[in-house]
Parts: sequence; structure tokens; C-alpha cells
Amino acid sequence: MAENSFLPILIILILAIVFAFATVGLSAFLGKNTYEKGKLKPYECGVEPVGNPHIRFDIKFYLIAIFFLLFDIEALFLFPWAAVFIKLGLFGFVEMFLFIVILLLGLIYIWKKGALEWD
Amino acid sequence: MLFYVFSIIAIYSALMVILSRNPLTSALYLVLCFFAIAGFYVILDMEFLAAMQVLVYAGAIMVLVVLVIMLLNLANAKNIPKDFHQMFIAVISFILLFFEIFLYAIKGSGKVPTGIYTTAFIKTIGNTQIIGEFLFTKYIFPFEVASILLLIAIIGAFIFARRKF
Repeated sequence: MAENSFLPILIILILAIVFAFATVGLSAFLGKNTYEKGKLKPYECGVEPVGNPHIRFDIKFYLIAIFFLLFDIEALFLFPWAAVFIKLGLFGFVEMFLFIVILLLGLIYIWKKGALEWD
Repeated sequence: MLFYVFSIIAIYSALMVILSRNPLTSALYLVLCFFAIAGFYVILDMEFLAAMQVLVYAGAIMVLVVLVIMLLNLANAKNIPKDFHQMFIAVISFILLFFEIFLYAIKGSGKVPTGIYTTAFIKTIGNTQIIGEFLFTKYIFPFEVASILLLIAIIGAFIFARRKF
């Protein structure tokens, strides 16, 4: 049982859930319910919607997302490292230096190849 | 008590992942499932893993899952015929996994944790510090290999997704 520092997070989680349900529930309870066919249309700046909304997305979005994921994982290794950095001393510094340099090679590679350019 | 709350959320959301028709709804239920599992980590006094579960799984990996759903263009997914082989593999792996979990639950119920790293001892130093200490001394080689794995993933993703070959 976690009665430690995580209690505020649990409280904020419960508050968020209650708030979400309360706002949707209250507007459903207090608001006027009108049903019209036009309300179900996706909003497209007032213009009549054209074509299928399910379009195929560009692979570039996926590429950016996967780079984000990989460098995110790199960043998360820094947290435990920073927590014990004093204890590890120079050895820890060299370790993390190697780790970052190897990933920096990847960053330089994709940068030079133009994977970070949009066009 | 909290354990049962998280269990109910986890089981319900996991069921909804496979039962909902809309793939994006499934993805959102998967986020809820990841949050419930993060809750388990907090109950087990693994704060670092809980934070990473939320950051990496509920954050980064779900971005990928949602993007895959968008890339696959599932507007006409209802027309895909049902595959009997898939069902067969699913049933077989379900039986095996369930049997395994059942076995562990039966065998592990009477066991107590051994070793010097008890919950009380970890609490005096800190969860993140313990992980850091081990990761950067005893498990230094896997840590450095992980960087090479990430490098391969970066280059591999770029090569697969690039336009011109």
C-alpha cells in the first residue's frame, strides 16, 4: 500500500476523473438535447465536407514519432544515472559519455541524411 | 483495497482493447491499462518503474500505436475476412499463457522474497538510486549494448521509411 508521496498523485487522478465525468454529465443533464443531422457532420470551416476523412497519413509523421520514442528512451536512462552520479564519479561520467556519443552518431546520421527535413 | 481498484481497471480496459470495434478506442483503453499497471508498480514500491511506465508506454509507445492505426487506414477494416489461423493461434497462446500464470499463482503464493534487497532496505536508499547503482556498475555492459540497439533502431527506422531507395 502506497501511503507515501504518491497520495497527492492519486488525489489529483481522482479529481481529474471526477471533473471529466462531472462536466460531461452536467452538460448532458442541464443542456438542451436537440438532434439534427447537420450536427453530426465533421466541422470543416463551414464548408461542406468533401471526401473520406480516413486518409492515409504520410510516413514522415511516423518517422518523427519513432525518433521521439528512441531519444525519449535515451533520456530516461539519464534519470537513474543522475540519481547516483556522485557515487559513480568519473566512471559513471565516462559510461554515460559513451552512451550519448553512440546515440549522437545516430542523430548525426539522420540529420546528415535529411530525415529531419520535412520536404 | 487499491490493488483491487487497479485490477478491475486493468482487466476492464484490457478487455475493452480487444472488444471495441474502433481501433482508436482500443488504443485509448490501452492507455488506461498502462496507467493501471503503473498503479501496480506504485503499490509494489517501484516508483521509478511507475514513472517510466507512464512516460514511455502511455506516452511514447502509444503515439506510435496511434500513428500505426492512422497509417494503416482502417476505414474499410470491416471488409477484411476473418482469418481462421489467427483464431487458432490466439486460442493456443491464450491457453498456454493462462496455464503459466495459473501455475505461477499457485506455486508462488506461499513464497516470500529473499535476499538483502528487502522493501524496507530499498526505501532507505530510494528506488531510482538502487536501479541506477545496478545499471551503471553490475549491468554496465547491457546498458552500453542498449545504446547500440537504439542506434540500430534509429538507422533502421530511417532506412525503412525513406522514400527513395
